[in-house]
Amino acid sequence: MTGNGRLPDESQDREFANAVSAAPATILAGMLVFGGVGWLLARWLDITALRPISLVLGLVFAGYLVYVRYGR
Amino acid sequence: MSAPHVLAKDFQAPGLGLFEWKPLFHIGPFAVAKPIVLCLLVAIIVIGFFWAAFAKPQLVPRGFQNVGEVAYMFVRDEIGRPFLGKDAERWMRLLIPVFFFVWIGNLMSVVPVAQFPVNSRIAFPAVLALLIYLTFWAVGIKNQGFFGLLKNATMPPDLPKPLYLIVIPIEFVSTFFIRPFTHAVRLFANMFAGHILIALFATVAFHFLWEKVTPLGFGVGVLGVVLTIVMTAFELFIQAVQAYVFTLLAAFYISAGLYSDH
Amino acid sequence: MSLIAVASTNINPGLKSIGYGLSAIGPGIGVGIVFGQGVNAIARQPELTSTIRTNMLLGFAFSEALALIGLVAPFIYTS
Repeated sequence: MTGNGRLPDESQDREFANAVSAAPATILAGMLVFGGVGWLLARWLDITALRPISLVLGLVFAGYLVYVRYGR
Repeated sequence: MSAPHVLAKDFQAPGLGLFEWKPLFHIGPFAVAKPIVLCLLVAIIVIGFFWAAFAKPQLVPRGFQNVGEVAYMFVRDEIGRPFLGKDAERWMRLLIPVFFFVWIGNLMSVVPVAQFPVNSRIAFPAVLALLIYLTFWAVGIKNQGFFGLLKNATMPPDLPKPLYLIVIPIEFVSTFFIRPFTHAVRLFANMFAGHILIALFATVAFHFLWEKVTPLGFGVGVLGVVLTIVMTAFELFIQAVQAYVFTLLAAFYISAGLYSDH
Repeated sequence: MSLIAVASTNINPGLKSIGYGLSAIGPGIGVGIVFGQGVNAIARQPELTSTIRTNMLLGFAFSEALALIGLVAPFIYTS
């Protein structure tokens, strides 16, 4: 195990393959985290509309995160 | 009184029953069914093949060793080297068995008597993905330390400071829960759907050409035969691709544990 | 409003999965177009590979998001 924080060669291909598998996971995670919080809030405050709103909010944040991490 | 409805009145489409096998025999408290037998058979084939190829390696390869070297070099050059660089040789002993277990297990779908892809039961891909996941944790903790691993996985650099409040939970869930889950499910779902698809077309052919032959249904039956052959060829391709993707993601996981820099 | 809620709970479960299958067609075509055109662009101008790959990735992620919306949509309707 000689990996002391240095990347191997061909890091471009590796980066791309990583990003392709990571981007949908990030978006799904964003929707799950925000949607989960919204689901709990909707149960607590008894406002059904919070569920779709939080889901869309999570989608927007996760999309922004993907843009910031991989899109620049 | 629509024609397709009357035509297919007695037709029973195959469903989840395809994946439920009665136990063949019992060993103690464990019931042994066909998927487990096939899994053991695949393991024996893989071990036997590489034993025959590399038990007595020679400088000039002959027979099995030729094939074994081609297989080894494919996995090393296409999967190991791009992700693991000079550490590739060390990790080949994990990548080779994973690749060939998954591939031969998928290939069981088209072997005449077996005809069941081992990986279409979620347990087998789940155990393989869990193995890779534990390896990722072990390697990551050894090379980066526990908190170093968490920090590198959940905190991407160069973001505005307040954003980290939102980013850290999302990245944590994404890296440690969703990616291992999709790692297993991607293989499982492909094999599951492919097996159902082939079974559906084969059942259509059998029903309309053998069980209940009608002039109208004859064309449908012929279409079923043709589609069975086409989809089997397509499945052969998909099986190899899924084995490749599974091993690729495994190699990526190990490299994410080895190298701190993204 | 309550009629919609009743309809969404009484709907045949098989119909729901057909609905998700239909909604996955669009993202499938979209991802295919993104990668197809991306490979085409890289083949035409190999020196711009990294830029094209970045944009390809964004297009892929956002069209994949549509499929994922369909995946989590059932959780909105369960109470």
